[in-house]
Formats: sequence, structure tokens, C-alpha cells
Amino acid sequence: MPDASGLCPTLAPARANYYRQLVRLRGVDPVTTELVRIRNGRFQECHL
Amino acid sequence: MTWVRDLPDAATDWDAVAEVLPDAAAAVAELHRTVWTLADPVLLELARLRLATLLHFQPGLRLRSGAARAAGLGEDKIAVLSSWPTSPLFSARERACVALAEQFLLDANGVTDRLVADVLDHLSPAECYGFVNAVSAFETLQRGSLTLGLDPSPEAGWLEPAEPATPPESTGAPD
Repeated sequence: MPDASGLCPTLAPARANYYRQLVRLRGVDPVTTELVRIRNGRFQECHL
Repeated sequence: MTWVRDLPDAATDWDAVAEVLPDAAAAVAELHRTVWTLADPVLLELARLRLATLLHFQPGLRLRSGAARAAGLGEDKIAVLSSWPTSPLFSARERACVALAEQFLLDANGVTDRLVADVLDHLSPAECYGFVNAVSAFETLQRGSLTLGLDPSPEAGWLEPAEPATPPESTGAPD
């Protein structure tokens, strides 16, 4: 997929920080989190 | 009120969550403050309120964007938002954006090239990209808040109450 992040350069730092925090939260229970992520991806038909 | 247990005492559910997860809460607030700068606040507010209506997210419906208000979005228009496909109060630009936001919420796989093209008829690619990112952020926050039972919405940290505060009734005795 093409990288569209350059369209809104002011968004990148905030979104990067947001996802960093999500990764940290995932550490609470990585197994359950991963199962939920996969299940949600299938539900949304998001195969990335 | 949130069902999450063992939170510290705080003014709101979100404040309590922020005490436990300060960096995460700050990241959410930073992301939302940022997305509100990426597109026309009126379009963003219409999208946010439409999502909140469809999700039955009452805490979000009790808030308003100050930027959208300042840009002219009034309660008369918000009151008929559910009629956006046909109401003359909505421009083609607004209809295209609300249509995209609505489809994004209902089924992201149903967002067609046509829906996006309709938005790009009115917004630049950068504005469209910003709009979609904002809608994504709104949806995530609303669904998360509903799941956690957060009331008021975390958005109260950067949005305004929908209704102005009612001044206390005068109880002074007549002279």
C-alpha cells in the first residue's frame, strides 16, 4: 500500500505516540491481545 | 459509570483511567487534539455526532466542538443530522463526508472508491486523509468508551458541553 502519511505530517508524531502506548498496553496480556487482534482482523476482513 | 474496578478516586472515569495509565491517556488526548486540526471542524463534528448517534454514545452527544460552533455549525443543523441524505440544510460537501464516515463505521469494507471520490470532489487529498484519520479516531474512542462504560466521554477534555450550564435560580427574597 502506498505511504500516505506525508499528506498530514502533523499527524505522524501523535499517531506514532498513540501506537507506542497501545504496544505497551498489549504487554498486559499479549496472548489475549493477539487473539483479539486476529479475531478482529478476520471479522473486519482486514488481512494486512 | 465505568465497570472497571479498583480505579483511584477522581473527578471522572477518564481522569481515573488517566491516573492509572497516564501516558496512554495523554496519547489519546494528543491524537484527538491533532485530528481536529486536519480538516474542516464542521465536517469533523458532523461525522463525530453521526457516529455517536449510530453507536448510541450519549456521552459524546452531550458534547460539541467549539471550533465547529465558531465556524457556524448550529444546533438546528445538528438536530436534523439523521436526515443528512435529504435535508436541504446539508451541502453536497457535508453529505459526502457524512456518507463516508457512516459507511466507515458500519462496514469499512463497504467504503467504495465512489464514496471516496465524492469526498475528493470537495476536499484535497490531504484533507480527505485527515478526515478519515479523524473518523477512525472518533470511532475507536467511542467504541472504547462504550465498552468501558466511560461517562463523561474523554472528549470532555477537549470539547465543550452541548448545553450551556444553567445558572442557579435566584433565591433572594424581594425587598
